Amino acid sequence: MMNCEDFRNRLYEYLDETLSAEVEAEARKHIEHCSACRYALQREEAATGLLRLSFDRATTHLALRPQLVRDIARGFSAETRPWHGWRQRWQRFVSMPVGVAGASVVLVVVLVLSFATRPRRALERITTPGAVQHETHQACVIEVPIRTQTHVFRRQGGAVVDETVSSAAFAYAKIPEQPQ
Amino acid sequence: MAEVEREITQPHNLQELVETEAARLLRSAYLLCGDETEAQDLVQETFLQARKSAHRFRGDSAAYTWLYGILRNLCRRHLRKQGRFVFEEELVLKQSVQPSVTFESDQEFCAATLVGALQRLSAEHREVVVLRYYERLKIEQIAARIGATKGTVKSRLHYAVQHLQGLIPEELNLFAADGTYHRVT
Repeated sequence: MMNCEDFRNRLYEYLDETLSAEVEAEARKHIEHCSACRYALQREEAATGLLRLSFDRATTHLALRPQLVRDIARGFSAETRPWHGWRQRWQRFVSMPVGVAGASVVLVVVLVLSFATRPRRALERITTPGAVQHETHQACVIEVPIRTQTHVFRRQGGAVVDETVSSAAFAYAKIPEQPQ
Repeated sequence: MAEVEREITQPHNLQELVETEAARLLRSAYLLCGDETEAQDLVQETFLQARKSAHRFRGDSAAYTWLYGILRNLCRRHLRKQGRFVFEEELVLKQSVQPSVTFESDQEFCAATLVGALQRLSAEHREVVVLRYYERLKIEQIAARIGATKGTVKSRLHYAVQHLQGLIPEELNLFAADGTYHRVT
């Protein structure tokens, strides 16, 4: 015989109709005789009806924004195609205002040109000869006009050795031919 | 099972899920977080995460259940970030819930009141209420969905409905046994 505590423990399953036939028959028999449990059952049924109705009513107007649906679709395809990110960035760049895009292009061109011309200018400076200040049988001294640094070059055997330790590389040396 | 997994990872199938399941997910998200804009963002994030973790979908449950699981985790993380996940329930239970806007009907007023009251519950209690009364799940289905025992689910439901009753203004006899309610004007 089912008592009140047993019934209250099985109240939700009774409403869900998930009790076994035997237990359900006992529960049905119990509420026929127990007004408190019958009331508890009616109360739960009322709460269920009211909450379902209220939640449906409070949410029925909700729908995913069309823009959000498009964003989700875009997210799906972006993850499907790895190159899509680059294309997206390029499209974003192309769709920038003309002024901003033009300024970006000019900036890039200036940077490229300055990088490309830098080594050539250095080469020109190196090849600019300075005046020969002093010349001996084995060495000559030249003044480098750019940095005003002095270098001493000495012939040792067949090689020419720069004996001056200097950070400047803009020197030009002219070693006289060794007298025969 | 492998076939289901292969199918679900196809973008066009996920797109179909957006069309079929998004509205239901959005409504659950709204009830769980109480804010429409947040709910929209959460649903968007749910689908994007679903795309990333599609390979983990085992196919032994419905696609909606899988999506709901992702949404649930996102909701919990979101509420935790906002500091709404843990709070002094006893304190907020003492405050009654009164919607500030005017409603055309008593039913709308009642619905808004209940949704407002729902947000005052703890996340665990709110979740079982949404699953039971919005998703219309049976006790054992809720237990499987949240990974708890049936006893825990029934206990949470019992206390959640009790709390809801406490949060509703007294003039709204919302839980009358005959399923009607009366608003004193």
